[in-house]
Amino acid sequence: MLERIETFIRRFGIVLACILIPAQVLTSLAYLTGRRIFHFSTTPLQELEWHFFLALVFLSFGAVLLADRHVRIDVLRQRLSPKAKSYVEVAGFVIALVPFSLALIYFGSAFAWKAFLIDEGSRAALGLPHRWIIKSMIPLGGVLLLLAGTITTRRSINLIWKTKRGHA
Amino acid sequence: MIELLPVFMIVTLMIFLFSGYPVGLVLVGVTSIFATIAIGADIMSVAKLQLFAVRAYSMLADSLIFPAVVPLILMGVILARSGQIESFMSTISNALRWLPGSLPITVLLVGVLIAPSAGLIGAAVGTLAIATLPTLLQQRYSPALATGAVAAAGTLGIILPPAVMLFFLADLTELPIIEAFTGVIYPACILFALYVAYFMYQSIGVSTVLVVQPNPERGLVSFLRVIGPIAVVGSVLGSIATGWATPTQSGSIGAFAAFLLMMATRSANLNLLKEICVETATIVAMVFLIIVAANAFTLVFRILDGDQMIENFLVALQLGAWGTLVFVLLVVFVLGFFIDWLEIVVISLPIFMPVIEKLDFSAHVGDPLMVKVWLATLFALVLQTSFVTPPFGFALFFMRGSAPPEVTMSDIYRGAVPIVVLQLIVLILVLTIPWLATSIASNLN
Repeated sequence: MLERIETFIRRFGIVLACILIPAQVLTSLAYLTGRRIFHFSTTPLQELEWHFFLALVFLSFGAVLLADRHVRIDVLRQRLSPKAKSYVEVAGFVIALVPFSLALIYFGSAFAWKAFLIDEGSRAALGLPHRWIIKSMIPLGGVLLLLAGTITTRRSINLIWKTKRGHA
Repeated sequence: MIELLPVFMIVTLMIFLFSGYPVGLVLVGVTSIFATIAIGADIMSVAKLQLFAVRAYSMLADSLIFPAVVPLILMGVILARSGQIESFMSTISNALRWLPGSLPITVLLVGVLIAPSAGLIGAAVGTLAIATLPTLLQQRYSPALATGAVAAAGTLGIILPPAVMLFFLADLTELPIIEAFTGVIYPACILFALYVAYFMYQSIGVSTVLVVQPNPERGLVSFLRVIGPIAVVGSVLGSIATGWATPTQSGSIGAFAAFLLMMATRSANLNLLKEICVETATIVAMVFLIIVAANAFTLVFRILDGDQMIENFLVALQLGAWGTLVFVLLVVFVLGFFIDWLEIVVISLPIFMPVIEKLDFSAHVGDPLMVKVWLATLFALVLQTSFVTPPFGFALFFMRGSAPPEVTMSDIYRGAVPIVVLQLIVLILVLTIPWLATSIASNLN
């Protein structure tokens, strides 16, 4: 089950990157050419640009965690044994990753739900409607991060168990 | 006890950062521990926690600067992945080969082009070391000089417009991006001239073996290889500086231009395009996890009155305006030994800026906006120096990691010392002659 979730998050991350990044660049260019060359300004395009950006940021946390590419300060870590590293990972999961993901999920969905109830739209007159869609990227990102964290932490726990059994 | 919580918060952060757990998650971990304590001690209400999601959202959605990071990084990744660095380097070094020190100077030019969009200093120095060190060593430059060239190029790159670091500095010092750009131009030019003079002087005795560069193309392709990357980076700068496009749009122009250049000079396949997008998304997620996390950290730190405490502490030291500024710059300098500019900028600036803004430098620099330009430039210069200062300089370890095995750590140290000295000269120049940072900006206004 976890393996399938892992492949899903990885693939989802790749698909997302390949869609959202070109989309942001192209909307941005489309808005610019519209405004500068055809003197035709559209607020929705301008807002779409940061919608793509925001979705990319929140939805990529999990996939990047799986790829182990988040910035670490390695000075001391390099000297730790694989087992000690695994303990750090497990402790970090409990102290940092779980509260953070839960905060993203809980407060993010409250935030998105509020926007949904009043059907919040853009503050600009002709802006994009339905702010709850983009706001719900926050809890969704939290879910992905929590799943990714569970997968990597299970790997660390397995490693700790294996070394324990090795010593016995 | 309670009033000391902000101190414990910073100490805990510093200790946990060295656990090697991802920086962004360490930040939120420490934040959640202290938020729990604060709620338990009735200093903070549970309702305040909601602010976390609201602020994370509005910070990213309302910013004119943050979305620009995506296309800028994309531009950098395209230039690096499509072999533009290597071909740019071989063409330029061929053209400059009559000059002593031509290759280190070429590396400087490559750094100026590639590093601004590489994002973090670790990535910039790593990319440059991999792309340029083997060639430098092959041409019998000493390992110290070769690594010195990479250190100079990488650090010059992170402060030169359109460096990603300047976007964050501008955001946190509440400075328009163009002003932030203009501040570093003169100092960077002086640095560049000093580096070139130093490399030429050092290379006079070196008998460079002219490795025959595989450079059969003449005319258009060779021209495109030199002009192409310059035009790509130039298009970003030009469109921002003239106010023709917003930072994000300028970045998009650059990314699109880099894409066109890649299509024109090599046969790109779908797999490469996929890799480029994934790499860009990875760097973006790396950067913004730290941004979102640091934002939560400062939120709780402020609720605990940490900002007030830092201010009282700095005032109590009675160092005067200059003493306080030098003290803060020293703290930033020491932080640069251990962590990348992003963490330093997003953690320390929100804490220090309110204090620094109250210092009076108007007699020395001029009006408040110019003071900000000057301060941002100083921060940029201090950060670049701290990254290459032996023995801890953050970038030096990345260099060791990406260098061929025959390069020792002491080679890297010996190469870095002259670079650090030159950077310190420029830093002192800018401290004493603020005009170097503010002249272009004051002409703009």
